[in-house]
Amino acid sequence: MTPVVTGFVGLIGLFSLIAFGMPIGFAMGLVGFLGFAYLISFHAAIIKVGVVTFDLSTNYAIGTVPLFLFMAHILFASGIGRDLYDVAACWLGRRRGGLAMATIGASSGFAAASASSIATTATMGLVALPEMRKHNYDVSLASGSVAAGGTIGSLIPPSGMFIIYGILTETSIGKMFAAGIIPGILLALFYMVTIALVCRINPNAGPRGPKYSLREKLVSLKKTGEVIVLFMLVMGGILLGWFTPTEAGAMGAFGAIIVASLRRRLNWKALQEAIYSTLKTTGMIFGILFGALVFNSFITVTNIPLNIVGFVTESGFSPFVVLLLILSVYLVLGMVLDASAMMTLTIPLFFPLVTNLGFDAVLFGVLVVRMTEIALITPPVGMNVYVLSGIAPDIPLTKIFKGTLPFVMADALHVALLLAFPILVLWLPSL
Amino acid sequence: MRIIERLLRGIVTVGAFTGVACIIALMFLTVVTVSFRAIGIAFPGTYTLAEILLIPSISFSLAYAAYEGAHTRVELVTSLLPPRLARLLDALMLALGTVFWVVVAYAGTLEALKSARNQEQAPILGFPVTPFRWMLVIAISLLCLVLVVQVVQALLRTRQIEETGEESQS
Repeated sequence: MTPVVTGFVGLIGLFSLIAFGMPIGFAMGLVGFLGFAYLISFHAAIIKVGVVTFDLSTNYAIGTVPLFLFMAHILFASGIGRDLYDVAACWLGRRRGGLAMATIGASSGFAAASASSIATTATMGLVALPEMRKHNYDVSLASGSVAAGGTIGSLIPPSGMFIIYGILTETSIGKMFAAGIIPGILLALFYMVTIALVCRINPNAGPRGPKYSLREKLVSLKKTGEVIVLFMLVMGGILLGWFTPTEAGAMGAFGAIIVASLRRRLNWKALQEAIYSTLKTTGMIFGILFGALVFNSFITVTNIPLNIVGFVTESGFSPFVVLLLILSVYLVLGMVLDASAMMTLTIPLFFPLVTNLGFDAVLFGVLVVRMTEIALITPPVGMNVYVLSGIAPDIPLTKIFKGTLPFVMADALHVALLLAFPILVLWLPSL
Repeated sequence: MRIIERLLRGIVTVGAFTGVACIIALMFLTVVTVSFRAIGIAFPGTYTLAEILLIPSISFSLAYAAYEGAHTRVELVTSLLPPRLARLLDALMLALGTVFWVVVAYAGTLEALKSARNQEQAPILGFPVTPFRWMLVIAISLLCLVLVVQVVQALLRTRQIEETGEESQS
C-alpha cells in the first residue's frame, strides 16, 4: 500500500473504532501507532510514542489545562453561576425576553470561569431554565437560549478548545485567548438581538420580568465584583504581557481560592470536589491529546496533508472557497462527532493546507472552534441539547432543537462576519 | 473480583492524590515565581521544576479519568445495540484501546532506561530526571491496569446479562 492509501485505510479504521465506542483518544493513538509502524518501522513507532508522550507531559504551555480547570472548578463550587445569572436578570429581566438575554449574559460570564461549553450549559440549565419557566417563557426560547448560550464558552477565554488547538498546532495559546474575546462578545450580542427579534414576532415567548430600581441593580453587582476583577487580572495579565498563559492559570486558580474563601463558599468538601474534578477533566483532555499527537505523526508520514495541498493548489479553487468548504466539513462531522474529536481528527489534515493558502493560524483556530461549537446545538448529536435534556427531561429534544434554530441562524451570520472582517479576530492578538 | 476492585481503588486513590498534590504544588510554585518576579527577584529553574511537576499531574490524571469512566467516547452506534452485544463491544474496544497504552508504557520504559544510562539531569537545577520518567511509566501502567479490570468487569456483566436477561445496578 502507498502511504496515502495507508492513511485513508487508517482514517476508515479510526472512524470505525470510534463508532464502535472506543474512547476517541485511545482510537487515535492505536491507529496512529499501527499506521506509523506499518509505514516506517515498529521500532521507530515505539520511539515516536515515547518521545511524543514525554514531550507532551513536560510541555510548560500545557500547564494551562490543569490550572485553568482548577480555577474553573473552584469558581463553580463557589456558586458563581447562580450569582452571575441573578445579576444579569436584575439588569435585563425587565425587558421582553430579558431573562433569556440574562441567560446569554450569564453564560458569557460563566464561560470565562468554566472554560467549557457543556459545563456552562449544565449550570445555566439548572439556574436559568427554572426561572424562565416560572415566568412563563416559551419552552423552546428558554431551552434554546440556555443551549446556545453554552457555546459562547468556547470563545470567551480561557477556552479549553483554544488550549487544545494551540497545543495541536503550536499556536500561541495567549494569542488564541486574546482572539476569542471580541468574537465572544459579538456572539453574545448576536444572541441577544436574536432573542429580541423572537420576542418581537411572538411577544408571549418572553414576558417581562420583575422591575428593579437602579440602587438594587448597582447593589447586585457586588455579588460578582471579585470574579470580574479576577477575570480582568488573569486576561489583562496575558494581554499586557505580565504573565504567560500558564502563569495566568496559576494566578487565576490561586485568586479563585481567595475569592471563594472570601465569599465563604469554599469548605473542605467543595475544595476536594473541585480538585478531583480538575484531575478528571485533565485526564479526559490528555487522553485525547496523547492519542491525537501520535495520530498526527502518522498522518504526517502518510503525506495526505501534502497531497491535499497539492490537489487544492492545482484545482484552481480560490483560497476563500477552500476555507468555506473546510468549514462546511465541520457541519457534516458535527452530526456524529463531539467538538474535541472533530478538532483533533481534522486539524492534522486541514491545518497545513489552510496555512499554506495564507490564512492566519489564529483566525482559522477561532473559525474551527466556532464551527465545532455550532455542532453542539444542531441535530442529531448536539451535545449541549442532550445535556440540557438530561437536566430537564420533560422538555422533548425536538422542542430544544427548535429553540436553537434562531441561534444557529445567528451563528451563521456571526461566522460570515468574522470571515468578512478577520480584524475582529486578529486585532487583539496583534497588540 | 471485589478484592481486586478494592485494591485498585486504593492504588488509584494514591495516584490521584499524587496528581492533585502536584497540581497544587505547580500552582503555588508559579504564584510565588510571578509574585517575586514582580518585585525584581528571579528564581532560576522554577520553569524546569514546573515542567517536572506536570508529569505526575498529567499521567495520574489519565488513570483517574479512566477509573471514573470519563474518557470521551461516541455512543451513537452502541446505544442502539442490544445490551449484551453493547457490553461485549465495550469490552473489546477497551481491550484494543489498552494496547495503545501498553505501547506508551513500554516506550516510556525504554526512554527511562535510556535516561538512567545517560544520567539525564534537569537543566539549571541539575537533579536526575529518570525518577520522573519512571513515574510516567508507573502512572500509565496503572491506567492499563484500570482498563484491564474494566474489560473484565464488562465481560462479567455480559455473562450476567446472558444468564439473567437483565443488567444489575452494581
